[in-house]
Amino acid sequence: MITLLTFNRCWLRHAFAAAAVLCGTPATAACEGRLADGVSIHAAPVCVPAEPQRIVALDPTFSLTMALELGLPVAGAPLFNVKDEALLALAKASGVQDIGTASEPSIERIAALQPDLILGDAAMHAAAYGLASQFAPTLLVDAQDWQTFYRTIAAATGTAARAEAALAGYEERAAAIRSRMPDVTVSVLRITPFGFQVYVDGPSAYAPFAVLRDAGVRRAPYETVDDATILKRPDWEALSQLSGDVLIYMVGNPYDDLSATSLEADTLANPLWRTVPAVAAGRVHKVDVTTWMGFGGLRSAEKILDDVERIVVGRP
Amino acid sequence: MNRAPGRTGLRGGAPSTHALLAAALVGACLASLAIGTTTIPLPVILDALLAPDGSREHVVVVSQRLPRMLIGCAVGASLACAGAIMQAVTNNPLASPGLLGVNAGAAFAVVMAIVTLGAQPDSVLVWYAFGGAAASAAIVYGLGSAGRAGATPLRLALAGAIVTSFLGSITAAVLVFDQSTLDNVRLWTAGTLSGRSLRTFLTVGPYVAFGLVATLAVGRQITTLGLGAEIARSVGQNQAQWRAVAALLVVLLAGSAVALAGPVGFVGLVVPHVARMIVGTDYRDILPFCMLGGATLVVAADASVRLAMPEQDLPVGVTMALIGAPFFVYLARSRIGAVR
Amino acid sequence: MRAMFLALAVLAAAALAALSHGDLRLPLGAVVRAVVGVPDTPPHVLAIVWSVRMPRVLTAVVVGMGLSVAGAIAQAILRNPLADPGIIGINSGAAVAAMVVIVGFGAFSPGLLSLAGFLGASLMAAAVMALAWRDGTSSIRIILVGIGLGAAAGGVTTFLAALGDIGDVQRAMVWMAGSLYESNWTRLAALAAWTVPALLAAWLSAHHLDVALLGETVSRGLGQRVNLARILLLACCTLLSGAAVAAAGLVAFVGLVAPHLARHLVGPRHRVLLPVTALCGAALVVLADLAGRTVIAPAQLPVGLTIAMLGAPFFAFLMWERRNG
Repeated sequence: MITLLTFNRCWLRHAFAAAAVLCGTPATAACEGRLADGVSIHAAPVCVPAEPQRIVALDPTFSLTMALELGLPVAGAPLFNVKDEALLALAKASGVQDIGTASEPSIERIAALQPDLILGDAAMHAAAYGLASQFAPTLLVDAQDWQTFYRTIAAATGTAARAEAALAGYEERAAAIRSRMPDVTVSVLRITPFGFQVYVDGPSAYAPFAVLRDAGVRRAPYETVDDATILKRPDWEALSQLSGDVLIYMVGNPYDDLSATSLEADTLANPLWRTVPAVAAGRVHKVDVTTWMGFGGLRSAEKILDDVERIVVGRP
Repeated sequence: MNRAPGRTGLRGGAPSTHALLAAALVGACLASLAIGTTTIPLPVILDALLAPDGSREHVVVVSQRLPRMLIGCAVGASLACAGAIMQAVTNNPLASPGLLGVNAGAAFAVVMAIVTLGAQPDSVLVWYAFGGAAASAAIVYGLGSAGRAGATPLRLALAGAIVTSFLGSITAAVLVFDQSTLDNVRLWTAGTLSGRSLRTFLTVGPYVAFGLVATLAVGRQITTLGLGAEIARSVGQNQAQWRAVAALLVVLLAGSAVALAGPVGFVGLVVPHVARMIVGTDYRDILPFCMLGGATLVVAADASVRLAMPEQDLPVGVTMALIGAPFFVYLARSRIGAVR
Repeated sequence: MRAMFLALAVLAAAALAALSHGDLRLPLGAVVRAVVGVPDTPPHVLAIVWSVRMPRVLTAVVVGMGLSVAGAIAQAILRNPLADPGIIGINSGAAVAAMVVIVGFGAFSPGLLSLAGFLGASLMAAAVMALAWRDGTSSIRIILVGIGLGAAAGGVTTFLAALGDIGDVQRAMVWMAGSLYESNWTRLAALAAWTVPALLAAWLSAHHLDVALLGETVSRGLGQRVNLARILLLACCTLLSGAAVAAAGLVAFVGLVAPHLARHLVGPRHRVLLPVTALCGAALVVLADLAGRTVIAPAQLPVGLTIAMLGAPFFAFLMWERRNG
């Protein structure tokens, strides 16, 4: 196990844990830190240090952004493919080192950083758990809901109080917006070069769309499900099922700049675009795809709420 | 009606076959226009094409299904003709744009352009497709035909398979690496007709049209080329010049097809063989058959899949592989004798 | 003999380079100390060498040996210097099976995936042989049927990808690009368990491979049961290539390039050719993986990609060189 040998205060404690891990005894037997347990933790229970000082995040979306927001000391994260300028700037300023791509982060760089905690997303990194856990306690969060993710990280790293305060602030704002929500339905659409995507409101909703639900936004019946569907791909003919009074749309993805193509112009000029009721009524608004398709923590949730206020509710 | 020696198949020779095929093509096109999320009846379709009145169904037909059908026709016709020309020039029953790496080259060039230069408008991408098709065809042909033995079917097929595998693995790895969505990968690794716009068709269409017309015009020369080097020379044909023309036509046709719908394989293999079985060996008959037959095949296959699986969007490249590969295996078994 | 030692030396050098290079540059002395187990080695160096690089390098070696010998066998029995298990569709069969597992079972369990890849490769090889059989086997037919079935398998893979859950399919795509990222000791043990006996079996059949190269008529004249030999040797080839695909995904060209390199060094007698081929193949994969890990660090290029980039131009050179033979 990697230990930060110069950090003398916890040296012995860590050495014991290291010996325990190396000898293969269960972590619970000698857990001197915090025991993270629960259904949303992969391979629970995991013994994590009480005050982690060098955290490596394995994914740059949820883990990294949430760890930074909670004020945790992040030593490394996969920044290679990140195009979000704000996030990159924040990461650089916080001293986060690049460990490669999110799908195959460089284990060597992780080892060289000598972390005392590794955070990740179980869906992406379960296969790497075995290797990663040889270097540091590895906490892979298995949660579809972003707030659960947030709370799980916070609980495991001792920042629960801060997380609750932040979430309370968010919830307050969402409630305020809910109370002012007019009686409209909203449809949200993503235009890509390979067809339309509608991220639905349901139990497995992708984070920005869960935020919409928190804010009291009502989606069209086509866009509301109660199963595990995350997205639907209507074709042009099915587009009229987006029956919301207001249409919010976004173009492309956070990584590629599609402004050179005529995708948006062609889509909006297509006669079938007018079969969407909101278009006929003129209540169409474009939003930034980087925010809506690259969700990262509370900052993104606040931006979604900003868009909801701007478009649906109106500023107070 | 005269029956030229060596013609097999339907009585009456080629013209009535072509008429039948044209009728089949029209039928397939109308079916393609009728099938979709909602089945639109024939009279409405005809109204939509002849006298569109802005109603929803008319708009669906004209702006949605029509481009898909047109692109299907263009892709089918181009690839079938390209395959026929390749089979004539290389004297190889297994030659086709998919197998000899032409499609892979075009797709590779387009993917590289998008990855390195960012998303491009179609009018620019089509030129990358041409360039990639040309480079790949040159490499495969150069490798496969070098040396005394010349371009045996085996050497060409191997060279094509290796080049396709090489380009395909790089394309796939780059797409995985570049965080592209699955949709991106699907388009450029197995062709698809969905999501392609009328604008794309209008941009690339002229190249296809020019290629098809030119192909029909050089039918006689292609026949001569297909008779082999010695006979062609004795008839006085300028081999080098006509081979170059044939190569240019293949690049134009296959490159356009890839720019329109991604790499669709096996059309260029299957249709010329069927043509030869039905209308004989004269390319002045084979090429029109390929044009009509290729278009019919792609449009009909796509429409049938949409009818059978309305929820699932199956790329047309996959359908063609599933139809064409058994045919190819049959060809390999029957046409390649028990030579050690 | 000299060539064998040369190849061994190259492989050893490559392996040491791979152990010492990477994101953390470890001087050779540190590597040796870690390998030998000197007590005062820093734990993170120990971990990098033993948990990350060693299994990865050893997996690369075994995969390289398996694929290159499979290629040598294919080239001998098909009597075609351009044959390779990837070309005759075996790898595509493995890919289809992997896709079936992913789409059907959802969970991306490495053990199940490896087994599936292996079974897929075997089924595909059987299908190719069965379809190419027409009063016996013909090498040309085998190759062509292999190309055709490979294309069909590619179509089926894409079809299944259209049905599957996006996340799973994305991971499948990464696997299919060929990567040594998930190498670990357990998988290495499984890989070695299949590969080593098969390598031994191939080496023991060196004489049969030499005879097969002489052509069907001569082979029969020499008393070899040609069809049986072809089937058994192809089975060995499938075993090797299936195990390699199960460990590292789709890695092409090794089976094409390594035997040719070896032939330049030691000539065509398989008794010597096979070991040298194995060493060349191993060195090739180790170096390609090293390049993939270091060139755009910290991101990792899949080994399938780096080998394709190295291998295909080499193959082109080979085809050009052999154009008259």
